[in-house]
Amino acid sequence: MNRREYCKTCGNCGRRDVVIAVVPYTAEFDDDGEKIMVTVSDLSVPRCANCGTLSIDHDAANQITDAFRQKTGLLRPEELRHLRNIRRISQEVLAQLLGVSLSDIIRWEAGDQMQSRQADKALRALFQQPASPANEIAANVAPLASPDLKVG
Amino acid sequence: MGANRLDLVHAAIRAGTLGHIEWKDEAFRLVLNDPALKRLHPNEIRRLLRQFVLDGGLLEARTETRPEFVRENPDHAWWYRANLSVPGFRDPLFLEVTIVSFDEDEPWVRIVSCHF
Repeated sequence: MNRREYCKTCGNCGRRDVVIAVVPYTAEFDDDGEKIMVTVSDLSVPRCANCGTLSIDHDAANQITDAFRQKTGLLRPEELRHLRNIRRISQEVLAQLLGVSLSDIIRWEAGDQMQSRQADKALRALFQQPASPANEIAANVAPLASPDLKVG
Repeated sequence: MGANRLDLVHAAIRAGTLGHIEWKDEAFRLVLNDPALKRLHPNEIRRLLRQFVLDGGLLEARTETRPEFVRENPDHAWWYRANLSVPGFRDPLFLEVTIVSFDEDEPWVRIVSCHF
């Protein structure tokens, strides 16, 4: 296991008092127009012992976004990849079907970007259709948006 | 002074296994709520910044003149900006960082703003 890298100096007060703390963390996020509260009851995060300022490092960012994904019930990257593979749809075709960029699909599957609620619904609808060639699926799936208004 | 500090910024971004880059909590929250960013993961943005510097990209040093930021942190007279190209996005991603640790052996920067 790699040693956790974090800055010991506080970006707010400048004191070298930052330590890893376990704290409750709540944030309001917009889920396609709906405000949702995401709470991580035990966020492990660099925190200044002097002024209380949090620094969001790699691990803390993952913990918070995982909680967001769990709260919203979005398909996880590995689920998305698995569902696409069993349907034998290429990433390129999936991007075309949804009217999003190939980069979006690649990042969704890598966990580098979270799909929108609208995109998640479209993905689920697409994967629930009986297995058929991609061009037949395409006839039954309306792209999410015009190329200029791609949704992520 | 700004040039030396800029070297420190680049050293911080190159440092360690993931880069010595942290997020200001407020900026982190804004990023996840910005529809233009399409929920790009903050760790991916961090990775893109690191890759930009590893590929030879340079940030620009700027003096802080905005009164609200000077008031908030008088010690941060400088900030540094990068314009990153992100595949699938038309516009460059604008990132603003400040130095958190000036320790030459362990420099760190903090992302304080990120938007298209």
